[in-house]
Amino acid sequence: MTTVSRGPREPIGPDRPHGLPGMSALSGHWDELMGHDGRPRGAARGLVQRLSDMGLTELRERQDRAEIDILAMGITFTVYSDGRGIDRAWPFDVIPRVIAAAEWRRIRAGLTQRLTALNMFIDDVYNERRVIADGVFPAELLDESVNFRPECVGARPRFGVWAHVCGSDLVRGADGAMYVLEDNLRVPSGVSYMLENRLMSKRAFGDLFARQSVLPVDDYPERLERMLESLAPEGRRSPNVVVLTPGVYNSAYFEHCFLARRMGVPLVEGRDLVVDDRDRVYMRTLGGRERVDVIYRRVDDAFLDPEVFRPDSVLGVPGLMRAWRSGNVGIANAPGAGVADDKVVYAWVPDLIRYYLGEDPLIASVPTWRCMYADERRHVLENIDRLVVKPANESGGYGLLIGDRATQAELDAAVEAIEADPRNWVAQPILSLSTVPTLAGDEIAPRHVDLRPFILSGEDHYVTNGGLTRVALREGSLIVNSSQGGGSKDTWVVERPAALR
Amino acid sequence: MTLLARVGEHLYWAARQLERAEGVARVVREHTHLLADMPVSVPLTWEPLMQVGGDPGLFRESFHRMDEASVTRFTVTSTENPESIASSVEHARENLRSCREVVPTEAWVVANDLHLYVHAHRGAGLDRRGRARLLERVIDDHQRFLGILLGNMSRDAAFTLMRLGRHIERAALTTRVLDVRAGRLLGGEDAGRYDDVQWIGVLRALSALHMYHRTAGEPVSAASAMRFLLLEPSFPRSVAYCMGSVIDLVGELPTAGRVMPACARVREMLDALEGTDASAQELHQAAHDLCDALEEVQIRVSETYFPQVAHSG
Repeated sequence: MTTVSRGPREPIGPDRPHGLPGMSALSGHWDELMGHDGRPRGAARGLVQRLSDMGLTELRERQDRAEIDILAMGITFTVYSDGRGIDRAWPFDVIPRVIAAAEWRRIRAGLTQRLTALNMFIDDVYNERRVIADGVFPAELLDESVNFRPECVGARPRFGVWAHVCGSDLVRGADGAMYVLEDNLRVPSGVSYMLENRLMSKRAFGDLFARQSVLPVDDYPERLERMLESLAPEGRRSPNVVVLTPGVYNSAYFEHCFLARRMGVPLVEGRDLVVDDRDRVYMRTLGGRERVDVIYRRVDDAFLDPEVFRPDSVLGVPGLMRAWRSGNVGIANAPGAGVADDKVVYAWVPDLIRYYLGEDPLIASVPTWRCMYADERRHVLENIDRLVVKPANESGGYGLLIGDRATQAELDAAVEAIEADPRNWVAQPILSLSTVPTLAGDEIAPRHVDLRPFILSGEDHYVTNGGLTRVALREGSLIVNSSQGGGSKDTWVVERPAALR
Repeated sequence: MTLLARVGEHLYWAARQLERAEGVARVVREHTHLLADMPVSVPLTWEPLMQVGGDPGLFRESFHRMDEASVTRFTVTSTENPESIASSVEHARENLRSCREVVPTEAWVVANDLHLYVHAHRGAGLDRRGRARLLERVIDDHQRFLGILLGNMSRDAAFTLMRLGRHIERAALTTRVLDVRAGRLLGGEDAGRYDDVQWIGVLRALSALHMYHRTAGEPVSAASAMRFLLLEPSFPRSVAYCMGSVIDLVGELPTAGRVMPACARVREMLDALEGTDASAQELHQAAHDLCDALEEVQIRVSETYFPQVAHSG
């Protein structure tokens, strides 16, 4: 028998290195890619292997290339500084976050269930108010809610749906369970970055996309357009849909543009629209006025219609509410939908799911203490250094206090604010947000993340495959908002390839 | 596809501003070459470049000397001069940002990238090499921008408005250059100093020299150069050619009737010169009058297509 000389064989199995230096879980935190045994999680195996083969230098180069592309393509968000808007390049980290498809199916079912209940709740509080009559939800909360719009009482949007586009923020605790941290039902943003991040990561890891099944996200604009068209007034064939933006200085203007472009519909500002005395909405075009059937508005309720809401608003359209109430125009999200986007209402969502659907929640909410109740408030005040305290009606992470990181002065200020206006404050346990390995300079280190999937509701529901993963780029930070030093990652929902199963 | 009037205005101005940036870049480039060609006995003058590149009053507020450094800074990188190349590119980019849903993405990327490049040099004084690189970049990127529109953009009202802006800007820049240069060369400050070389420089600054030789068939003189730049129907930077395009484009847009009379007036002024042997002085006067007539076209376009929406709040 001839002896064939074999070259050195690659180590296989347990000898194989698991990722690059720095790719490991922090103790007491769940890592989305790496297990505590130092081995990649099942769905992340292909990615971790690829990163090992690539090496840190090559990875860093791909990161640099992505950043150059982002700048040239003008993928930006706007921040305010010294009274003017400044465009910043969208911060993107090239190492994706991976979720197993089987887990994602459960999350999707949970989100669909949640949005079904939330929409039933909104429709209910503006109409029959069964939920209050049945003693499930306290009436005084509605009366005090800044997001409850008396102007919307009695309105009947199509399909009973008010929150057509929702971005729910999910976090994963140390136990590996996913929790809904909050539901954004007014004008949630981020979906354009989810789509752009996918383009970037396809450029960086094109070969992996060929070898394993990462579920697509690209169909979101088409789904959105189809849902919006379904809101058109009765009898309008090939309806005119528009995206309504506050304008070029809004922090999410990039996204407004992006969605209008991807749907092929006009991007309008309030001054482009006019409502006539028959309560119909028109846009001012080059050739004169043209009817508008559906408005995807990215303007807050308060600025929508100066006839009804803030009279000083120049972003809105006088008469828009008349047109909507007469059924002459569809508006997404419906005015008033924000009533369920309140961090106080959040605490009731599990009850609402049981009440409207007779089901147990498929996806958990974070335990929430409501400062309006004396006993819960006492618990919050006594344990404030071990809780996250949040204002009920702020977005963007502003006004949020993380007890174990706050100074005594900050804690005192929070106590004072809670006692002055208990209705406006809720508190939750400090969650140990999960991490994903992230490039930090020339190293890789675990950084905390959350996840914002987007849920479309109309005649039926659509949930994005994954969503926008936001990452706190500073070591130890839990603040993922891009306006405050947060970045983002692509999110891969991975069907395991047969070979690795 | 529906086009909002406000978006139309952004598109129109973006196209004008980028065309202007390219046009001024060519003028600056050729002026630098021209002065390099002049014997040292002829005092160099940067004043005509300043007059083409912005408001002379504004120049005098910011600069004390009429030299290469200050004039090129004023026309190329100045942030105070709203007509400088840097300002034009920045305004164009801002305008395009307000209509990204209409403009092909690749074209936006070119304009945005050019803006980032120019922005990095904003306000700076550049040496000749740095300046030459920036001017090349502006010219090349605008040509790429146009190529992408030509290849990828639907022929709808948005496209028409961008072409309209471009042609009005071209006609305006050509008449402005002629007005300034003729004013100085015909009995003005620069008269008698290598006149034909200077007129060759004018043709070159408007990228017309090659086509002049192909078409005109006579040596360059003041009158022949001006005649070519004003009247030559086949040359795409001549005022006559641009006005022909403007009239066609306006005809494609709704309510053309409100803009047409102003266009017709420009056309008549050009027709009146056709077939005459108007002197260089008369042609200069015509160029001067055409500047105002073109301004009138601009006013009509704004009134007709962009009625106050941008300012009504």
